[in-house]
Amino acid sequence: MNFSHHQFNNALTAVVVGLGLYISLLPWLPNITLWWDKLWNDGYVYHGQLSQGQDDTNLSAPPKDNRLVVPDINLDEPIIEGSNLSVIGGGGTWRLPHTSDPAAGGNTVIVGHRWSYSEPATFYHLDKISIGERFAIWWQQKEYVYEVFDTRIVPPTDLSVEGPSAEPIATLYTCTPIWTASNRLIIQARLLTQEEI
Amino acid sequence: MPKKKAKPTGMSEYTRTIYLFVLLFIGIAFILWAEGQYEQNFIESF
Repeated sequence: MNFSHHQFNNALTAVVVGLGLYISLLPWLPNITLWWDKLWNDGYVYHGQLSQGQDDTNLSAPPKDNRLVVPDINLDEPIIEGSNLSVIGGGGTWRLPHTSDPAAGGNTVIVGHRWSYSEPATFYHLDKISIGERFAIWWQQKEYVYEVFDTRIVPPTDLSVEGPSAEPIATLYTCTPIWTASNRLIIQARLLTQEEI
Repeated sequence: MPKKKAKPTGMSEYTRTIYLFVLLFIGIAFILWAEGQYEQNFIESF
């Protein structure tokens, strides 16, 4: 087989063009997939109290693992326990070990990666959550429903968002803006009672 | 009378190879730089 210099350059051009497309399109891919899912699959179908009200006869079986579910952004990810950030290198969210959990009350803090070329974009759409929206945390096979009361951006040095709280709340946070991770996007939500759901 | 060959108008194959490798290097360097920025900033807060 005779592989000429011209053919080599054509192959190299294809590689360079492919790399260019990878660099420029990958950051927007989660937006495209979310749009596509909502267009053709009618978004994320959730079977829990969050969408079923107090009638739990249609609840699907509780997941065996702890999970964070935000139907508005098609997010359904495991909550992983661990001592450092490396536990979410393969996806999922991480509950900060020095914070509370839904069963204990107080402030449950869950973090996730926003976006990078090598990490899964778990919290990519977190900025699309607004005040009043609801999400659920499955914790030890029990569902806790939260309603967002605050969204804001803070510098990474502001660790007050991880502090304890008298009320049972959940704090979700990730990096912002996409690319730089220079600030933190904070979502805080209060636990709803059965009557409020 | 022999026909004159047209002068080459584009860059040579060797020059093209060099340009393509430079672009490839820039692309890979950009990804590594972006990853480094992200990791450094994210880990700073833990």
